[in-house]
Amino acid sequence: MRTERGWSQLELGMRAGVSRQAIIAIETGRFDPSLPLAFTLARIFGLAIEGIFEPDGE
Amino acid sequence: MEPNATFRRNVRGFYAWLGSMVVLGLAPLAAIRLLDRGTTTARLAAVAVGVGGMLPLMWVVFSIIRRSDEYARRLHLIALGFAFGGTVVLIVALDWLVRAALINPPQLVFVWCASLVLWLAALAGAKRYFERAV
Repeated sequence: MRTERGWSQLELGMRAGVSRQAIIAIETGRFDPSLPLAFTLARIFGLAIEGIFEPDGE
Repeated sequence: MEPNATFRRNVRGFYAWLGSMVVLGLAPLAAIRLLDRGTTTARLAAVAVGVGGMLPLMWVVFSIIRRSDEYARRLHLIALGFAFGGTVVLIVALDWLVRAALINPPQLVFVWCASLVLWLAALAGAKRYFERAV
């Protein structure tokens, strides 16, 4: 989704106001962002939260 | 925040950390020199200098955590939790080893150095866990 837009992890992090490491951790699936950050990421991608994140096991 | 502002903030943070580490290293030396004087005032000053030497680093770490994003805060929370738990286990273990007359009472500097190592190791371990591809 990020690479489709040609954004680096650093660039997405700057848009979302978090570090590159935070984006890496979210992309590995081991770090669940807070609800405000999830909303911010969804807004950046122009999608609903459920369009980006899935509950565990789905 | 602009990239340049972020860079400047990070540079300031680095120098603050570097300065706090210098103070951390020099404070014990100054405290030992004060202890050598032997007077009560000098010994009290040695305690104040010895303890005070750690405070800049604590302040820098607190500032870093306060300004960090939620991911970095999670890392620090985990690392501090491991360091606290590990230090408690270490102190209890040393206590029982001393009670059992298996070792002599250790220097307390060993305990806080071990705590520092635990903290840094836990920070590196947590970072590796979260950022390693599954």
